[in-house]
Amino acid sequence: MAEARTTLTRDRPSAAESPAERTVCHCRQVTYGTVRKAIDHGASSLSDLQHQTTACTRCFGCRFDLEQVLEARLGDAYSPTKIVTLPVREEPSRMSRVLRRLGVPRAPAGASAVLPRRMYMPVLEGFEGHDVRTRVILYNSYDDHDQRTGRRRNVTLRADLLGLDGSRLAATEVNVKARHSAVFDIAEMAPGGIPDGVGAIKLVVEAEQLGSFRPYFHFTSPGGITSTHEKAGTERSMASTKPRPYYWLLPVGYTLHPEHAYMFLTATQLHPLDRHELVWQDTEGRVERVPLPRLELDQSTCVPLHEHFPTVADGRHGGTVRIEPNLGIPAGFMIRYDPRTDLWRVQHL
Amino acid sequence: MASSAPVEEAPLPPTGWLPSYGWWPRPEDFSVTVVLSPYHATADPQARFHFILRGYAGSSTPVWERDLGVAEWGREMAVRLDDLDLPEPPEHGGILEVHSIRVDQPPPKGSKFVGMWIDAQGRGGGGYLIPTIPIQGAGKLIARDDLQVMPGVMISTEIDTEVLLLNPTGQETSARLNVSSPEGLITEGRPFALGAWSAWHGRLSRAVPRSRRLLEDSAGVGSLSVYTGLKVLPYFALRKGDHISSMDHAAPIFA
Repeated sequence: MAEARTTLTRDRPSAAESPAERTVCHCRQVTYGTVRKAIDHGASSLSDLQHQTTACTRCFGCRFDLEQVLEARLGDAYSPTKIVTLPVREEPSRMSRVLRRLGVPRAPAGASAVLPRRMYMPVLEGFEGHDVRTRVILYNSYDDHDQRTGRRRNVTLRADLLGLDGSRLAATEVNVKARHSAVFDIAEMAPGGIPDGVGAIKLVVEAEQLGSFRPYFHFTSPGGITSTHEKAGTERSMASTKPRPYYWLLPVGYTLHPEHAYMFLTATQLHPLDRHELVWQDTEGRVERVPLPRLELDQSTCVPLHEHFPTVADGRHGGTVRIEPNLGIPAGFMIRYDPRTDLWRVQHL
Repeated sequence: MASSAPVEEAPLPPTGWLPSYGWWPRPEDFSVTVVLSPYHATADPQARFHFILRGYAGSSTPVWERDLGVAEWGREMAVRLDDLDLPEPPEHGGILEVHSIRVDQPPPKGSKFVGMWIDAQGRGGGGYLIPTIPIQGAGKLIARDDLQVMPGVMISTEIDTEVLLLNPTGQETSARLNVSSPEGLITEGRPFALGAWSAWHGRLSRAVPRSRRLLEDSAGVGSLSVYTGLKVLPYFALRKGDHISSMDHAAPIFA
């Protein structure tokens, strides 16, 4: 085997019915039982659970599971969290961030740990009735040895399969040895399929391990295979409110045949992606707009541009589809589909 | 507006903005549109950009150049190479150079380029969407081989990987391809020369002997390492039969 792999969850019961001994927060190893006990002792919000159990303070992947438990336990008395926040004591300190930039792999005592990196990619599994599948490939290119242990450096990461609503459908932990690859077939992670045939995969990696690899993914169909990589590999804030100095966009070139076009976006920030819209502008200056749904952390959308903007797909118009305003940091991908050849094309924004 | 080829002397105004690069494929294989968007460069409505495209084929002197003029922020441009009356590229294609020169201000520290986009559709299906990429520090000879990795290459009876290397520098360099299985087993191809201002592409199964057999037990999936003596731009495409169904760029690992 290329790697040691542990299935953490697969086709699990709903969060509200999960057994007490089952882990809900894989980062902090917090069980459902611990969470329910905290609620019984007065915790009534995600913030309370963060403080009382430390759950949901690293990658935030259990956020929707915890909200399900809160809702089941408290009923109408529970108000869902709109914005995820990090308890002050869990926030990465300035010292830890500086040490990280200086190449110090682990922050010393007193400097809160750097949050793990989260990397998102789209998943298509039978999307819109098409015979399309997704595979993720990771390569650990470390060739040197850890100075402390003298061993080649392995990389451990967790892969969460997410529905568009952000719910975690399955989770797998994998340890990739140096110079080895790991391959995830989504059909193996979720043998029962995924709702709507579309979702996202989120990789959670400790920051100091990230430099050795970048994940790529394939969409495979009877017509062929398309591939691109995750983009959000660099360190970035989870609570950025500054405007980006440019717009993310999907380029539209002239094509020989009409193609379907989709914009896939996952919200990666603690603040929701809200009041955003997609703007199609062609080279003649014609502009059309469509609002994006509100997306909270880990939620995704796959917008069929060819339905909203028919001239994007006819092959006779050039231009771009951009995201406005230039706020927030979604993980974005452009997807094209040629029904004539059953071929997909995908690229990150 | 379009200048005649070959271009004897670079007519570009002095600028600190770096160009970015892509493949100039043979026109019988792909219909290529270069999408030029000031929105992709800045959110400043005062910005203006001078766009120039050039093609190279084995020499630092471009074989063609098209000056697309200055675009105000708020305008989108999409240029089909088929419409530019270009000369034939070499057998492996050539190098497309995209100048996006912001004329109202010099580049800020640390970010001296503006990448644009290529939307290419195969004549027989498939194609690729890919950003144009700069090559900073291209002229530097580095102490050890530059390594870039491509996880997810495939070699099977149905699918092969097409490797594309662009060398947009004035120096010839050498390249070495190394395929590894998920279990870490490796097979390596012979080093080969990559000419200055040249493109090279070839099927991975032919460039690296025994690579198909190496990946037999992993459904044809493995990873590729590209070692070059200079910084170059490696890409890989997945090919089924005659069609390249996708293309992506490699991931530099020293970033």
